[in-house]
Parts: sequence; structure tokens; C-alpha cells
Amino acid sequence: MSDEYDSYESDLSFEFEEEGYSSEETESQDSPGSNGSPASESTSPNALCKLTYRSFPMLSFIEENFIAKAQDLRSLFLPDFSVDQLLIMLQYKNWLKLEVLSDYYDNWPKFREACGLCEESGHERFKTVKDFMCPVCCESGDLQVFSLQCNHEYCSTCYRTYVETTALHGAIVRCIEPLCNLAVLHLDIVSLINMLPTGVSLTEELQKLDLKKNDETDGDEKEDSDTDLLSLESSETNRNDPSPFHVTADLYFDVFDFSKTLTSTDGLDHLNDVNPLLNSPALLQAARISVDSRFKKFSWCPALDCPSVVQLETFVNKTDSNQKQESRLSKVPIVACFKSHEFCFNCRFENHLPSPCWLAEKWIKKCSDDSETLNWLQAHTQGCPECLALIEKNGGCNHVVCRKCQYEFCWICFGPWSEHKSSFWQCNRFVPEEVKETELNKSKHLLSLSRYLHYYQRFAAHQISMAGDYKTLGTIHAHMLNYMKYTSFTERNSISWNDIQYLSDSYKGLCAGRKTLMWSYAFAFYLCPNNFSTIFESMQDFLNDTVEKLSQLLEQLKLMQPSKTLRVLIANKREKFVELTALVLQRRRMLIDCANSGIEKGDLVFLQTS
Amino acid sequence: MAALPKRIIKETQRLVSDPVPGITATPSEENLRYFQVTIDGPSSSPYAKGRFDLELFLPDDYPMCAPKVRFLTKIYHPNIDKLGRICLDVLKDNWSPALQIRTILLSIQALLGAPNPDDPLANDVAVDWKSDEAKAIATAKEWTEKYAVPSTDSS
Ligand SMILES: [Zn+2]
Ligand SMILES: [Zn+2]
Ligand SMILES: [Zn+2]
Ligand SMILES: [Zn+2]
Ligand SMILES: [Zn+2]
Ligand SMILES: [Zn+2]
Repeated sequence: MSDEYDSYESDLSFEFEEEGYSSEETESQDSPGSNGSPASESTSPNALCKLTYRSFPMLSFIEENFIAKAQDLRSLFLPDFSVDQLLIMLQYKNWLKLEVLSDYYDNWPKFREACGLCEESGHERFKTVKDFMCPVCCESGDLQVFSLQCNHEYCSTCYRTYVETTALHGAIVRCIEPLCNLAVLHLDIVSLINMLPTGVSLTEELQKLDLKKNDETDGDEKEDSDTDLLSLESSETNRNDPSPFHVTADLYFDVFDFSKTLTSTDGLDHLNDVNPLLNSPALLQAARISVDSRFKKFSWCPALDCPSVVQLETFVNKTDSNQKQESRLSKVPIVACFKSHEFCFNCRFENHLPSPCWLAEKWIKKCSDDSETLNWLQAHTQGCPECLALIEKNGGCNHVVCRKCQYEFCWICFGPWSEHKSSFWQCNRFVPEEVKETELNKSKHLLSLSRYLHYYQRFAAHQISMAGDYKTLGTIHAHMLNYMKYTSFTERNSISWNDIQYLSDSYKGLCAGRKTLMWSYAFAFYLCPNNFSTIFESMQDFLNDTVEKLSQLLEQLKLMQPSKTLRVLIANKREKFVELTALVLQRRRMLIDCANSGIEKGDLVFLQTS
Repeated sequence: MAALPKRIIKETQRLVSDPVPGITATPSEENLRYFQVTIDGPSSSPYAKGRFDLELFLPDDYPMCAPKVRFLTKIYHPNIDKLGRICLDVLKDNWSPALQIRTILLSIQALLGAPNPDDPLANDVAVDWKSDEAKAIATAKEWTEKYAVPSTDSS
């Protein structure tokens, strides 16, 4: 509660400060753009929503919101301080320049004490001390020690570990000595971290992340982790089921960018070179906290490990509890991070169009609430997944025959009837809690469950396929890498990474199509059946059809070996890929438009139940 | 299991050879990072005469992170909750790797002598403490007698 209030407050004061410094702020806001990162204004991927925003790597955020402010203070008001010292003052005052100035002019000695700064006196921070016993690790000998001006000495290895650990709290890092308030400046943090080969610097960390991502493309761990998430009897269908939690946690956001894989510049490396301060993990963490507390204007990309920030230029009214049922799709603030991951600024889920935010949240909650029931049901109805919605009980007999496919099963345990003929009553053992209800309730319950299951299965299927598409693209990518590596330049000069960049675009289009389909099933689940919902569902079929065609095309490429044929085929297929991708995007757009106009005109109506 | 860091060995040795009055800390035989601790209630406090059992665990990243300490004996105190967890700044934000098991246990003993209902962990206890201090102190004494005074039949 109080946390939320606090963040709200700081958000307000931030706004206030921006007004006070509007002229300078506007100037400094352009800096990420001038560094070559795509920080120009973008418009929402939701064409229905009038929204502009900027996306940039988090290092640009630090430059712009922290370092530029310190530089401003230094050049305009406090030239006697280093940028590093001013960063500490700013950090202490939640990055509010006005507050720093007011505390400084109010009572400098008090402010200095609180920040933990002292006069620069040319103190030698690193030195070797003979016969030193470090009170933290208890090692002794001629050790390299680190100390601030207070002369509280600890061995530099301990200091580095300390700084690395404490930096994660996001607060100002202080001297190790208990009760000593002196701040460790960010440049000291950076030199401590870079001091020894052990331990990992931020750049290495980022590189590791990149490597990890590449590994995932051809690894088979995905399936294993899926099985872990489901505490179920092993069965073929269950193994491929993603947990509903995937929706929020592991978004298949990653997009291949063939043109970048070879050169491996992420738009971040050059920033690290420019300013060593950007290597401070403490600043990084402070940036995270700062973004989180200004959630009305800023957001991290929710994709796993994506180091990017989105800053809104347009004010978005966060849907509060009063307007939970805001259904207009023009109110869904979809943005894309600088690595083109699309997400909703309002609910921080992936791009959930055509579902409105409230519906997306409800659906995700339902999927996680019902996951056990779902798993149980799916495990027990494998024989008849298609016509599940039609299951009806024949009178009082527990021997049920599916009208459509004639599958015979037991109403109590959902097991095949054939296994019951000899020893019917044995099945009682397996009766799960939720079907031990009165006969009437049972069929109602089952009916609503099977309706849900119908939509959930389709929702989940596209999620699984998305992972499959990703793998396929990974294989193609690996083939290409091999091909480029072992083929002479003259032989391959007719094909370059740029020539197959279209595959990346197609994959993005394919993902976008699948995402929209997924959420269109969630949407349809909450829809009252009428003529207009039928129209909607036929548009769904169109999109489905094109998406699967594009997916198949990709699959075909995977099967080819890297050779001249591949080269020729890749060149030949290009047109087909481009055409199908365009069609996917067009039909996706039509589906969303259909949902939108249906909602606005009142033709599409949502069910009142859950 | 990784070798015990020199720091932990030294601290353990000193805890045994030079114990703090009113406090015992004995490492477990199976796990040298796990300590059984007793703290005597300060004589001027409602916890006087009580001997409180605690457990203390040194996590892998100790001393970069604070030890994990928890009361095992039931205690009525605004900064200690039902599960025995302790609200103490040096166990959280104000932890410094230069602090030791010894200093932490002394701080906990000091906390028994000076409860701080303005920074509560056990909200209900803190409310009682603020609304009727005398009654709260009486309850604390009662609990101490009931749960923490060593009974004659044990040990
Ligand atoms: Zn040390
Ligand atoms: Zn110091
Ligand atoms: Zn992203
Ligand atoms: Zn949303
Ligand atoms: Zn059937
Ligand atoms: Zn049965």
C-alpha cells in the first residue's frame, strides 16, 4: 500500500521537475538518438490507439536520466563537484535536481553528511599493506586493501564482493565499516569491479545473456522444462502443453535478426566505451528502481532479459478499478521496445489484441486458477479432444457414448468404457474432488469446462507452435552459419545475411499472427454467441489458415541442407514468404478491426460470467 | 560441501573460547554453518530470567549477507513475530560484512531490553504495546515464565 503511494508521489514530483527544467530536459532527451540508438518517437503498433513513445536501451536511460542531470548540475550550479559526487547527491534525492539544489543551499554540511561525501583529498584508495588482517575474510599477509577517505581498510577482494552484492539493493553503497556513512562513488565501484579477473563485469554479463539466447535456439531443454511445470502423469499430450503461466512469464518475444548476429553489436557496446560510469551495477539497479517508481511514464520491456525501456510521450490513463470493463481497443496502449518486443503498457502483458486489458487479465487468471482442472481434464479425455464440447450424459447411466465420434467412456472417471466392463466399481478410486457433485451440477460444470477447454486448447496450441517456429528458425540460422563458415567467399558472394533478412521479418509476422490468434481465442471465450461472433470466428479461420501456410513454408526450409540448393531455394522462396507475411499481417489487422468495430457498435457482446 | 571459510572458523573458535555473557552459540555437528543459540533475557526487561532458544544459519554468501536468525522459543515482543522472525536493522539494510555473529546476538539481546513498537514486525503485539504498555509488559512476563524459564524436569 504505502509503496504504491510513494511511487505515485515520486512520479508527481518528477513531472513537476520536468516542468521546471523543461528547456534543458528537452535538450537532454535527444541524447539517446544522437548515440545512434532508435530513440525517436514511435507510434503504437496498435493502429487504433493514438499513442507516441520512445524506446531505448537502459544504458541510454542512465545517461539521460542520471548522468546528464549530474552534468547539468555541474555546469550550471555546482562546478566544484565531480559528476560522480553529484550522482550520489542525485541518488540520495531520488534523482530530483531541484531537491539536490534546495538541500545544498539549505544546509550543505548536513546534506553532505547524509549523502556520505567528503572533500576530495587525493586519498589513495588502493594500496598494499604489509601484514594486514582483513576483518571480513580473516585472511592475512601483504594484502591489497581498499579504503575511502575514512581509512577504513578492507582487502580489495572483499570490497569488490561487497560492492557487487550491495549494488543490487539499488541504494548508495557505503563504506564496509558499520556506522561509517561514507559513500563509495560509482567510479570506485567500477574500478573495484574491473580490478580482478575473477567476478563478472556487466559487459560480460550481457554477453553471457546473448550466448544463452543463442544456445536456446538449438537446445532441447524447452520440452524438458515444460514437463517440469506440469505435475501430471506422463502422457504424450501433456508433454507439449505449456503451463498457462507461460503467458506471463516466458513470452516468446525473441526475434532473430540475421543482420546483427554476425556483427553482434547490440547498440550497447559503444555506450560502455563512452562513459565508464555506465559500468556501475549500482547505477543499473538504481535505474531499474527509478523506472519502476515512474511506472506511469516508463516501463521495462517485460520480455525475459530484455534491457530496454519504453517512455511514453502521450499520457495514458491507466485503467483503474472504476473502469475495469473498458473494452474499446483504441484504449489498449501497445508499445514496442527497441528490440521490437510488443507489449501492453497498461497491463504489461504481451500484445494481447484483440482482447481488451480486462479480458486479458481475466483470461490469464482463469488459466492459472484452472490449470489443475484443465490438466486433469486433458489427461482424461485424450480419446476425444475434438468433440469434447458435445459430451452429454445419456440418462442415468455412467456409460457415455460420444454422439459425434462414438467414443465410449465412463462418466465418473472419463476412462474408456472398455476397461470397465469387468470391474466397473474400481473406477471410484480415481474420482477427483471436483466431479463429486450432484448430477445436475456435474453436467453444467462439465459443459462450461469443455467450452473453456475448447478455447484454451486453441490458445495454447499457438503458443506451442510459436516455440516450434522459433526452433525451426534457429535450425535454419544454424544451417546458414555453417554455410557461411565453410563456403568460400566467391562461392557464396551471391548470398549474404541481408538476402535472408526477410526470414526474420516473416518470423516476426508469423509470431504476430499467432499472438493475435491466441488472444482472439481468449476474446471469443468471453463472447456471447451471435451472428457477429460467427463473422469474427470466420475471420479467425482466415488468419489461422494463412499463419499455418507461412509456418509450413518455414518448416520446408528447415529440412534442406545448407548447399547451393539452399541458396537457390532461399532466393526462390523469397517472394512467397514476403507475400504470405503481408497476408498474415493484413488478416491480423482485419481481425482486430472486426473486433474493434464489433465492440464499438455493440454487435459483439461479452458474457457476464467468468 | 565447500570448505568452511576462514572467517567462519575464526568466529566459531572465538565464540567458544571467549563466550559473551548471557549468550551461547554452538555449531551443529552436521552443519558447521548452523548454530544453536540461547540468549538470556536482560535483567531489567520483562524477559528477565528467561532463556530463549534461537537458531542461526550462515548462508553461503555470509559475510556479504547477514546471518539468518530466528527465535525458537515463543516470545511476546513487538519486533518478533509468531514465526520467531526478528525485525532488526542490522539483520537487513544495515548489515555490514564487518559485523559478526557475536555483534548480531548482542544486538538481539539489546532488542529484548528495548522493544521498538514504532517499527513493528508483529503488528498486533505492537498495537497492544502502544495502547497499554503496562498490560503488554505483563503479557511478555507471563509468556516468558510460561515458555522461556528453564523448567526443572528438563535437562
Ligand atoms: Zn578480505
Ligand atoms: Zn569508512
Ligand atoms: Zn524487449
Ligand atoms: Zn493491456
Ligand atoms: Zn467424440
Ligand atoms: Zn470409470
